[in-house]
Amino acid sequence: MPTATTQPQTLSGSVARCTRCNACVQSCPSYLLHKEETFSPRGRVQILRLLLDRKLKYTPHQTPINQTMQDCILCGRCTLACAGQVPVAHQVLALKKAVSLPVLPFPCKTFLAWHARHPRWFDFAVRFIQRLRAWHLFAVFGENMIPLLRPIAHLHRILPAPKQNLRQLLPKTRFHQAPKKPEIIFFPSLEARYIDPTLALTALDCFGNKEVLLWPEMHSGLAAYLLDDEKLCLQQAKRLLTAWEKTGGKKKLPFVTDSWEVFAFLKNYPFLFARLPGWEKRARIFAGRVHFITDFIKAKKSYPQKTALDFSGLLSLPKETIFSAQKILKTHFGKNFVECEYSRFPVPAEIAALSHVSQAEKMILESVKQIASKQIKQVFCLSAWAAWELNYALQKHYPCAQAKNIVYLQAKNDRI
Amino acid sequence: MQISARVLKRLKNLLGKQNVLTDEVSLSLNGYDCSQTKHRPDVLLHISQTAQLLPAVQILTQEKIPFVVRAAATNHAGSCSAVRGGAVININKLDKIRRIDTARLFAEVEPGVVTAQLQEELAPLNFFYPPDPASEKVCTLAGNLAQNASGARCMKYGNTTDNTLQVQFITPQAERLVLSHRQAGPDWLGLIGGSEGTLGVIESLQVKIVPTPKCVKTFLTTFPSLECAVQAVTDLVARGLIPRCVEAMDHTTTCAVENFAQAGYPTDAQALLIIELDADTQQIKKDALLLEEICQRNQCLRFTAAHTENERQKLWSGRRAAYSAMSALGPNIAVADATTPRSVLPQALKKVQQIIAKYGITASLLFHAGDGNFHPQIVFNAAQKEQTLLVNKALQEILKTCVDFGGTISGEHGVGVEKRATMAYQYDQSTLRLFEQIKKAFDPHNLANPGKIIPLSYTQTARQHLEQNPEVLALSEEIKTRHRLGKTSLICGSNTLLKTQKPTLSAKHLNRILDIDKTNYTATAQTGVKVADLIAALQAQNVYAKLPQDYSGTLGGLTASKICPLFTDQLIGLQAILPNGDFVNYGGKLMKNAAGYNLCRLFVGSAGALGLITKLTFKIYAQPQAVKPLEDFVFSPADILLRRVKKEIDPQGLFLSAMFENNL
Repeated sequence: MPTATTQPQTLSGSVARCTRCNACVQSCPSYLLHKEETFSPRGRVQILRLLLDRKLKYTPHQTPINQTMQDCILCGRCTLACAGQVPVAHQVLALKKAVSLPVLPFPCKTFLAWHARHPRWFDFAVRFIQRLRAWHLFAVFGENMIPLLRPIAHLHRILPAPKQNLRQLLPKTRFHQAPKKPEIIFFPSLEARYIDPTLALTALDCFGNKEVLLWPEMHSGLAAYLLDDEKLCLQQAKRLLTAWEKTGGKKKLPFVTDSWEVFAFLKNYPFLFARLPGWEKRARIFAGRVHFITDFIKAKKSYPQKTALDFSGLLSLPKETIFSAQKILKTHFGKNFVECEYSRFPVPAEIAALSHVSQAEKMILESVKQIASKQIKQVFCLSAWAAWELNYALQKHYPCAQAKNIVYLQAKNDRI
Repeated sequence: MQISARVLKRLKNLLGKQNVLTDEVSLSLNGYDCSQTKHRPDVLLHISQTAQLLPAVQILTQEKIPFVVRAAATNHAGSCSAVRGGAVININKLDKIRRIDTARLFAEVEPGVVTAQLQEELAPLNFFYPPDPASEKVCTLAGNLAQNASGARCMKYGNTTDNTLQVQFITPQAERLVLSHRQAGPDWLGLIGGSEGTLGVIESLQVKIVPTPKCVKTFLTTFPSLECAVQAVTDLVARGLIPRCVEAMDHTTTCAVENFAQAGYPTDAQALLIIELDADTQQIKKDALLLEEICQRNQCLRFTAAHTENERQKLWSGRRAAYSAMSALGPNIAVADATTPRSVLPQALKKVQQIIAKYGITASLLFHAGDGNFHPQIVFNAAQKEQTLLVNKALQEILKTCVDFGGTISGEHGVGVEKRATMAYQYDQSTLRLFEQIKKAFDPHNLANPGKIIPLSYTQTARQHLEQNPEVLALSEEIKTRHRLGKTSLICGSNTLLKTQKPTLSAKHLNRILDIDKTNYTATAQTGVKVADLIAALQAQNVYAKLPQDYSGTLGGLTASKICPLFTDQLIGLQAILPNGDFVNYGGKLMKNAAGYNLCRLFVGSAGALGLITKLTFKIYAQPQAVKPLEDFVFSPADILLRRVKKEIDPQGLFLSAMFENNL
């Protein structure tokens, strides 16, 4: 009996793995809105196959291809449902890059580009905007004057009130000084660094008394990957790998993050270095030590409210982590935890914030409908953006429920 | 095929511009399914309301454009590829559950409702819909009926046709009909179940729902050989214990699954069974003891019960991951669904393993041990043409082997395009011609899903019919002579109330019980056997059928008059003589058969108008079965269909029938 084959390294190889069984279809938020094969994950893979086989020719104004690729919100839920783990989101991303379709809407892409290439500008811009409370300006311009800003026009409504950022808050905590003998490395998400530092502090609570090293470097390579800057992506990934190896020495310290996307991306490092065998081996060891914050959340007493888990995220996510998050919530909420299948329950809230506005609104409304029909009172999200976005929609349409980041399960009462 | 601008305009006026698509991408993406077959349509129609379906079919019929109805397209046979181009009708948007009636135990749904969606709605009401095809999370209810899908629970609860009560149906001639099992005349609903959309379009369905059993218990057992495992299942049935599911795996599959999903399956045995029982709490304890005793007697190596829900889910996780486990071994998987009588399953599996070894391919064997249905899953790389050809050759050989063992080429996936050629190996020429006549009667212009099920050319390749019984041969000769001379005949049972001067034909003298098979739990009898005699003969062997005690006529009369639908649902095989004297043979000792149109359902209730039934095979049980008293029909017959089929099969009107002639 042959053993399981590894994931194919080439695009055509991974496209060929699709057996057209259609198991993915009900997990795709975009299909559930359209109910057409063209907008299904199977349809997208087949488009790629036809393009690769040269049976279909791409022209820049080919509306159906552009539309279906743009409607893919890269949530990766199809991969979770797929027996062969076909990475549809990665394939769509590759096609978008190849034909120069925008991966993200204009304002998000610009911020991401600053973050990847000019971290100082990014830092300055975010602090400047926060200081001036300029989100409101976005709203005014976005809604009334500049259509390009529409995707971020509602940010002032979803983001928490501006606070001091993590750099300003840290000196008041024990994490200010880098420990001499760190036991754990923590890589905070961008949201935790800039927008809601409470999130980072709560996440740090999860480690108890352990010596935690707050990772100083901001880049994992994800932003550069999304921007299709392969050189920069590899450069940043190599830098992170080397720094991690140096920090722990032979100990191989656990590398923990509260960013769902960064976690998924770090877990995929070996595939990133597929063409560099030496680096691939190192990346494999590193990927084995990468953890999501849920691995450190301790289960507490049971709460009486009906609760669900939203596992919104970008690109394909590791199933095991969803299961571990579900396990924590089950322990916390016992029978009140509403277990959800991959299909039909909540559609990715986070991506909705980054996708086309018209489609995002429909998707998020679907999500709220599902929550209301199951009379759920609390939804825990694995990502901060997802929690904010979903919470905003819930407040608007179904105020009896609220969405929180899963990290807050660990919070002391005053921090919730 | 070029669709004219005028037709497109008509369709756009009806459905809206955005729902009539002719662009390259949309057409390329709607010509495939889960099989290897790909055929591009010429136009794609999205139907967003049920009311649009009939006018859309009307336009296509008027313009003589072939059409294929497409739902989730998860079938493995190429059933929804547009072989002759034309239109593909997407019904996925028709996904409303209209009504759930827990008092009358049915749910009324639109055709595009996903099976899991219905189950999700029923779960809080403590009800469930019995069929559970492996793709239930994505497949639709109309698709299930069109393919007659079943699944693991089929052994106890039956397949989709058995669980569909009523269908609103559009014929290819654009007429709307309501079809039900409780109609007088042939069981048209049974006939369209598994017809793969070749007989028309399903507009809405009423499906059976069942209260959720109070207690469900799952067991894992392993056996030193496949023979022991199959014998254990036979013994279960013999003791009257019908499990909810009996799923089996051979050694290769168990190892692959365990390696992939770590479900805790022991890998030291040659066969593994997952048996699930459902009943009330008291009964299930008794059943579990009986099950253990039977397994022990058949040398089971291990007998484990799942005590908690988590343990139960873990046991099933392995079975569910079987497809994924094989997917991990290669880029493509070819799945077959051959079925054999349960008694010959071990021999058939052995032969299949030899074929797999001969071709040097990697394949696993999963099977529904309860009904003799097995799924060889062959891993291959479709990019390599040679390998694909080899796999197709091996699959053909596997299917033919199953037919040689008295089985069928398809138990639940259907024939479509991929198994079309093998149909000629399973059926004789006259049976295939009858399939063709049925299709022609429903769809004279060959517009509804053309090019499926019936082999393109079978005159040379179809198998020869071999009938040994001299009495049956004599009867056939007699009918042939009458056909030659253009003489009419009236088929009468022994219980007939007709007083006629017309020449009659009867199967009264065909009164032998041919076989009572206590391994497969089937019985075969000629149709002249008196029902009372049949009941007595069965009881003498401690087996029972769902036959009415108070019926004084013959088995043929009971079937042709359809006055006991509970029995006619049990028919699995049939031999009949057509008005031209040809034999048709369908089914056999098979619990599942999705190859071709269900002829048992066609001849049931046909009152001798379509042919003379000479032999029937039906299910029997180890325990006495409840039989409802003979019941009246609720709905009027679908006369229009019977007249059309009759015209095709018997154009000269040689077989008279009380259903047509008033002057008998």
